[in-house]
Amino acid sequence: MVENGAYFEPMDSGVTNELEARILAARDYVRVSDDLRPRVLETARSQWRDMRARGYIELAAVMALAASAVVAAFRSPSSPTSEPLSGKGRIADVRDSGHGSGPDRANWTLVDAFTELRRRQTETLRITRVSTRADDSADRDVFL
Amino acid sequence: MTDPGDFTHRVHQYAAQLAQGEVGALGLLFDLTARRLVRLAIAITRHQQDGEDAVQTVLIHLAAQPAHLARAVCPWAYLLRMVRNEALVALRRKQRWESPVNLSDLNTHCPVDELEREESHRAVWAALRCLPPEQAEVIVLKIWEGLTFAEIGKVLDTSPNTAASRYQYAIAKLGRRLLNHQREVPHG
Repeated sequence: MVENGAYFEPMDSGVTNELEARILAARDYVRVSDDLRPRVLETARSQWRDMRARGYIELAAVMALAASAVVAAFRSPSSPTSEPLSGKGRIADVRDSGHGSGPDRANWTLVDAFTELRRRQTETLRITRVSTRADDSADRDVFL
Repeated sequence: MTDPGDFTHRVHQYAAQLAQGEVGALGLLFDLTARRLVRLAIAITRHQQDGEDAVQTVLIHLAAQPAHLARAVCPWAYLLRMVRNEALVALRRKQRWESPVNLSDLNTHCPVDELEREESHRAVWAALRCLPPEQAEVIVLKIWEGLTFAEIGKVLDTSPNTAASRYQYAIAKLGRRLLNHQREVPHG
């Protein structure tokens, strides 16, 4: 037999048996340190606690997610189970959102109101301007 | 020596209990296997602390995922293989290829009725530490664990012939070393 350049002669079976018996006898000479058992069990227990805590947190997160999904489904306007909005609230919502037939009407009402306001302001300004002109001509007549 | 069949059955039983969430099964599994696993790990890493760390890592991993061991066809071989792999990782990480000069780091114990053989035991362990890890592990599995070369091949993921060859080389080296030691200490 050759290994790493070294030659080994085959051993006599009697010698081999004796050697194996000697090795076998030394089996229990080295033993496990006293602190290994508590070290292993404590680390494992701590690991189990962490895993259990992580499991509870994950379960709570899943339940919270499911609860929020259920609540969102009940509050959705498209849901057939949702309550109809009250009249005042609906007008306010329509006005704020500017969608649908109601909101269109509300928007045009606002436009009408704004147009009316502008018209009144214009009228007021025209009257003021006319009166100012009249005053100016009167003054000119006085000085002349 | 424990009956191998009974031993394997108990490993399987504790692994199943562990998989069912029985916390106490880990302690039982430790009591049953730790001594043998540490022996293998020390033979590979050549250091008691590194060997015990490897065994600890494996057992804690099993505590987290016991189903792997419970599902194994041969849980004892699976456990040996896990410890062997972890010991090799520890060996590579620490880069301690040199063998220690003495056995001072080992936690040794010799019964009173074997005190006269203590020198012989020390010589065996010292000689084992001088072997390359792949030869030392075969010695442990063959002589101390009583596995066949086919079983050793499965644990080490090699052919039975390779396992047998390594064993022959290892036994020849140990023979030379131990015979020299016997000449130096005639009463040993």
